[in-house]
Amino acid sequence: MTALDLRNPGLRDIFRMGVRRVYAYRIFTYLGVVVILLQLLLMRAIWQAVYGDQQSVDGVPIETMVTFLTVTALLGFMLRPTISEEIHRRIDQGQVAVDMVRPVGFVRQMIALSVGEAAGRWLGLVLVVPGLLVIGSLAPPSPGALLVFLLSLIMAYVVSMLIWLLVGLSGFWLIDASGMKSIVGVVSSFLGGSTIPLWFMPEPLRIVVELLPFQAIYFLPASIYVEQAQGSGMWRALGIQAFWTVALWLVAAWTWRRAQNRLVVQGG
Amino acid sequence: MTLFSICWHNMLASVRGEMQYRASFIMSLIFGFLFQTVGFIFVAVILTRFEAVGGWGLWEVGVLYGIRLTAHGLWVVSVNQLFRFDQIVQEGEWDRFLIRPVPIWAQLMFTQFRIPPLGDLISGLFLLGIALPRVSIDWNAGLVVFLALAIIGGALIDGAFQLGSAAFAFRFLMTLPLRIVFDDLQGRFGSYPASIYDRPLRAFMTWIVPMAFMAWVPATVLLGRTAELPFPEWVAWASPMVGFALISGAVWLFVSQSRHYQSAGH
Repeated sequence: MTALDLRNPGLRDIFRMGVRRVYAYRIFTYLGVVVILLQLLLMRAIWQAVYGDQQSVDGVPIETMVTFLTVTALLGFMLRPTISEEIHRRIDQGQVAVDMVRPVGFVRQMIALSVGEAAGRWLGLVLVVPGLLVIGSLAPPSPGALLVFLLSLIMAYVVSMLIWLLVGLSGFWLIDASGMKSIVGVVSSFLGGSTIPLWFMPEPLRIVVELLPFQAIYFLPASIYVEQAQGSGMWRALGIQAFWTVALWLVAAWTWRRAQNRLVVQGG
Repeated sequence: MTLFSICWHNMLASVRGEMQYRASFIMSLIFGFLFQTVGFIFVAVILTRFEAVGGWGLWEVGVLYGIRLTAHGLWVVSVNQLFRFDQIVQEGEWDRFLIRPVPIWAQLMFTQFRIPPLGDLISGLFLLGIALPRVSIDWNAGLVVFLALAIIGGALIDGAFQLGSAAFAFRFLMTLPLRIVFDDLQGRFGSYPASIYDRPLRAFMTWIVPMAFMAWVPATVLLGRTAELPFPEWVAWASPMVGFALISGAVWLFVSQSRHYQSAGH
């Protein structure tokens, strides 16, 4: 498992395939956008009802809350479990045997494909983000916060990719890992603080969430965007993300070494 | 073989099939339960922090949430083949539905047993079991019957939308997006008293996509909150009828659309 190098022609083609795939099934991409917008509208209505007449709760104004939810919803759209779906499909159909004899490593192929898919998908945001800015769901950040947010977003992407890679690799043991994928999907968005920010969580739940890597995907980047994490809080957020990037990388590399000895090829 | 024993053997065979991948079977069950539990934990966390939403306390919302989830679970557990209905039409499998000597409704219900929906039903009942003793309700026989009818009525409202959307598969082949949107609306929106939303949203979910009748209206009857409804109390008592009316419409739509079926061939 080494870094992704797009100068490698094989990987470059796989990357392009990922980009094109988004637009081959574009109805699902558009549907994804519609669902996100709907979800945003509803979350906004619910939180406005929860806030009631109060303008600000625990020093968090309702506008900040709406922007926070918009950012986490967009993160949900951007950080998809493509890589685990792809690995599972290949294990399920026995395709993995062919993949593994290719001259570039299996994991690198999968990463190239899912990075390509993400690149294609992120293009779709060009349409959505300006709209959100106009209707006031997404307050523009200060230039400084935006810069740090972009750094944080990259780490969020890597952490999310590594988690989904691990889920994908679990397929080498489980064969049918769709249940595993669904569980991680639900757990990661809730325990990642995407629907309820950590500052509103009761103490025991917050402690659990802080021990898990999922906050690095949703809560930390979003709280940097809305500047709830500033100064030392911001550095702490980036530090946590960096820690999970390294830790999950090591776990994924270790898991992959073991997964190769567990290979079961189904069908033909 | 009687219809009953055919269905029974079908279900047993499909449970055995699901058990082939045991780890995945168990995980699907856990997922179904977890998915819904997390939904309620979201509500619970908000309500512990903010005490009440629109004047409703934690366990009152719990009752409402439980009614919706049980109703939804009841439908998806019983009519489980609609889930993959697009595929049934696309791949021409509907041909087989038409020639088998078993009624179509029985085939939609008993061809296969799916595990994840069971999680919805179990967590709905579980939530009702926890929430009902924690709110003050003057129970009497009428109210118990009303609750049972309301859950069945709610299942039929959910069903009417699922069946009604599936009907379009005969012409357009792809209806999954429609159903996802409805599921999403119902799950995220229908779990709160509609009184917390502003007027257009509330009107939308009462009169256009009447999911308010799935849980909010029955819950106001149970909890003695009918004063917050935009219509007289007797309408609320009649709310289970909404489900029966809607499902009749959906069945009619489904049957009339099925005439447009074009087999993909086998």
